[in-house]
Amino acid sequence: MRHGPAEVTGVGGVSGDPGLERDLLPKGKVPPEQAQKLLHERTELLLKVRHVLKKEVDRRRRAELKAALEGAIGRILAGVEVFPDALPTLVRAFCLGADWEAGEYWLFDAPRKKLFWRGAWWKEELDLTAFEEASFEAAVSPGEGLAGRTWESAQNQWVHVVGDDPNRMRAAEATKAGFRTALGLPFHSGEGTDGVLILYHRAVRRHEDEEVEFMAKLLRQVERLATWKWGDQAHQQRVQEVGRIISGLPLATEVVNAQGEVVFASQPARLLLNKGAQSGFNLREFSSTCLAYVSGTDKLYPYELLPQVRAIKGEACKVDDLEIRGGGRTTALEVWASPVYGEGGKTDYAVSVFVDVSDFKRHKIELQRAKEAAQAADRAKSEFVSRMSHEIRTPLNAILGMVDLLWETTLNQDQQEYVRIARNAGSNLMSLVNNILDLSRVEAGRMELAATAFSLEEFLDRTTDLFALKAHQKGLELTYYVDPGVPERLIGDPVRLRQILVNLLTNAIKFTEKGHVIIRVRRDPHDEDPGALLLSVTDTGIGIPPERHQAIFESFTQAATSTAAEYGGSGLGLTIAKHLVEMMGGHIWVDSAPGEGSVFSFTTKLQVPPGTAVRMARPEFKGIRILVLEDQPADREEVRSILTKAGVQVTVATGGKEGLSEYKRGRNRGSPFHLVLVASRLTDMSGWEVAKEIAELGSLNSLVFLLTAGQRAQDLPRLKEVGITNYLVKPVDNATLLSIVATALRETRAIPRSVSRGTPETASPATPNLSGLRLLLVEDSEDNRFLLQRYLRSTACRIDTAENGKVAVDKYKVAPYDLVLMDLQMPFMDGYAATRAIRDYEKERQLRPTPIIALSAYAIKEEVEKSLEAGCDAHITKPVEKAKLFEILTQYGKKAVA
Amino acid sequence: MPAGEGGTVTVRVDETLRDLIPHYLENRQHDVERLREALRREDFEAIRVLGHSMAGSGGGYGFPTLTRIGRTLEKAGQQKDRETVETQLHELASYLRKVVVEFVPEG
Repeated sequence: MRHGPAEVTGVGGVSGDPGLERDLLPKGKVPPEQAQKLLHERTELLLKVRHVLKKEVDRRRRAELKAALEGAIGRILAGVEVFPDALPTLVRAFCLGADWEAGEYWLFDAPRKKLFWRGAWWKEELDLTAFEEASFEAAVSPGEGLAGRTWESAQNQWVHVVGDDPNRMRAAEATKAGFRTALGLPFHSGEGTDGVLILYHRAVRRHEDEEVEFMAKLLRQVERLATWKWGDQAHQQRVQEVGRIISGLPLATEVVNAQGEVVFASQPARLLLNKGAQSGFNLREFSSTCLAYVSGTDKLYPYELLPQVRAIKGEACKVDDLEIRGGGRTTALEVWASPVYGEGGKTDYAVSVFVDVSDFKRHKIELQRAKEAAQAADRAKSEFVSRMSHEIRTPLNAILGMVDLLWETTLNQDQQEYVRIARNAGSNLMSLVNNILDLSRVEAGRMELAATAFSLEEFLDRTTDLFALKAHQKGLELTYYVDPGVPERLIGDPVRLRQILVNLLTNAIKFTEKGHVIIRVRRDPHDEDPGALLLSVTDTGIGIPPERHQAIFESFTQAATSTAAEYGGSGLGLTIAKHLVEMMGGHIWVDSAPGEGSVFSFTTKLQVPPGTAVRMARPEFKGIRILVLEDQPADREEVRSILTKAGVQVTVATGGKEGLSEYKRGRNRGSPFHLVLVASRLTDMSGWEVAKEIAELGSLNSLVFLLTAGQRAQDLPRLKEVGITNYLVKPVDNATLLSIVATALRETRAIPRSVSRGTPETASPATPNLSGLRLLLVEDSEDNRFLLQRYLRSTACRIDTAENGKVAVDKYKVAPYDLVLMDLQMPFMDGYAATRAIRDYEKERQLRPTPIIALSAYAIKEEVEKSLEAGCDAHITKPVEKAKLFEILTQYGKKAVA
Repeated sequence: MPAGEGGTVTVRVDETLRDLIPHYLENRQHDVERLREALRREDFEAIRVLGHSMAGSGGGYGFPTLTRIGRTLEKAGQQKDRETVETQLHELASYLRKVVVEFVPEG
């Protein structure tokens, strides 16, 4: 390229070259006129030739120029360079194509309003290094120098005076370079690429409009193309930028377009997906190329379900069941994908992130396995302990029974002491075993709470009764107070509630040497629920240091290790109490300090039967008149107080004679006493004498004897002899007194039987109300299905039936039941398998286990155990007795409904 | 046997089951035929199943005798004890002929 234009250079100087003229004239002598003519002819010819030649040269030159420019344009369009990068190429192309020796270009910096020199090109024979160096920092304002003027005028500038550059250094260098002609060409090709192109030549060149026009025209074309390309290029540049950013994302990320073709992928995505992350890769091939499988199967991941594909359809989604297999390893993935919306809400792209969760999944499985193993071991431990405790209890009971019998025989003092120690040790061992059994049952989740209606006062009486003797022996006062506002009747598990209190009372009495132990029942001040109670046991014992307040509720702990040595006990009582309290929805705590006694408190949430009174008089005692003959003031006051509170009209007498006259007065008034409570021993006469007189006047039925504990043994046979059935042993308690009084009143027909009937305690056999309960009866025998359905009719529960285990499991899966009665021997699928299937299903779905009651043909131990092992909660032997069925349903049905 | 050949056996059944009893006893009559057929085919497994099912329901309906017969049949079926099956079959048929149901109120 460089040589072509160089050849043409000479032609440009034809007109003024004497050598050429000489060559045109013939050699040797020629006559002047002929020579003149010849010269003229030759000159004419030469001019013609020159014209033709010039045309040819111009044509060739333009072709060269065009070719060079096209090359530059091609490079621009091919995206190799953006327009500014193409300027050196352009300058070079203009120089070579239009015979200029050097060229430079300037770009306009809009914010600074100046043209900055940006680059130059020159022919090899020139040395413009100094000029270039001088230009590096060159900047001109519009109007200054050639570049500034060209820019300002936006016109081509053809000049012969070179060196008017405002930059002195440059001017000097330009002069030194010897440039005599310069051409400035402005260009406007878009944002940031407006500028000026300047071409130089050392010869004085004539302005040739045609050439300049042609060059300008070419430049315009380049501009247009570049402007168009610049726009696209800028876009592409931004796209490339995004691509680079995504490529650098530290997570495996892939961007696909709406056609499902990969546009970008991050480096980790390329490592993970290989070909699947290559630009232009279509998702249709994703599963087969990347070996993407549905986790744990041999099924290639379906195209439609691929998260990337779903995201293209507009769904932001996440899947965790995709695996990539390759290179001998399986990578479990979590894939997150979301759509990128463009104009009009259409999805332009979908972005997906692939997270390797192989380790996580493996750990999860390992953890799950470890957890199951631990739970199984724990269950096995609890079961073992529970079984062992059972096994220990049986012989222990026999031993204790024998020791008791031995105690009754005639023993010498030493023997008595041995037996006493054996009895004590035996009963301690028994209570320890019972505690262990309870704890293991609680821990194995086997402990279940009943929902029985009970009277609070009766409950407290019975509970304190258990400790009355011990408290008395130690000289401790043991009492309870129930605050007003506490419901009289409650629904809950009185057995477990008693167990809590027993544990607290055992400790209180054990650790208290003098003073009192008081139970107090209040409404829980922090809970509005009427059945929410706060119970506390206060003692005046040794107390517990604050740092032990937490630990004492943990297994096998006492306030101090030395405590165990001194007071004995397993340290399980409070642990069990805590478990039980928590099962009942409450919490337990202690307030105590050494030497200041302890207050153990716990809350519990019980139900209140509808219509329950809050400690009020008993309606059946309304209008009842009772005479109390008792010379002991404390006992008399106690009885009077209880009866009065219950609504009875009470008349008291301090002696026998006074009593009898009251009795007679009543009869004469026409308002006889319904009942007479008489102490067996009075100061003026015995109870027996009073009884004799009353028997003559009326009926023995209206008599209730008050016995003292001490004389009980002598008095009881005598009562029987006389024919008196109702008696009380002092000190009387609320519930017993009222209950005996009510019985006696019914016997004398002073109150109708029906009044006291119908309460949940006395109605029996109770038909459980299971209204709303959904029960599944699984039984292959039609006869038994009919029978059980009939039995259950009165309970108002909804019964579905299944004739074998398979049907039962299917039905259960459609909608779980509240209770299942499961026959064990059935065709197709037996009860064991069905129970296991239901338990598995529940576990899988994390459903609350439904009580399953096994119906088995035999009461044999193996069958019972096998059913419990399979997951049944209880067991009834066929043929099913109604009472037994109801009993079980009462127990489990209420729980299920609750 | 609680009663002689010619007599009747009175069974007290819960009043609430009144409408179920005829169908129940009818089914036991069918059992007699099924047992005979099974015995003829020497299908002791069928006998065991029939016995098992009878044992499971009899007492519940108020017929402890049927439970007893059922249990014996179940065991005899298991042991392929043809002779016992025959005697029990005879007893069952006889019992069904003689049984008279008296309905008593619930409880």
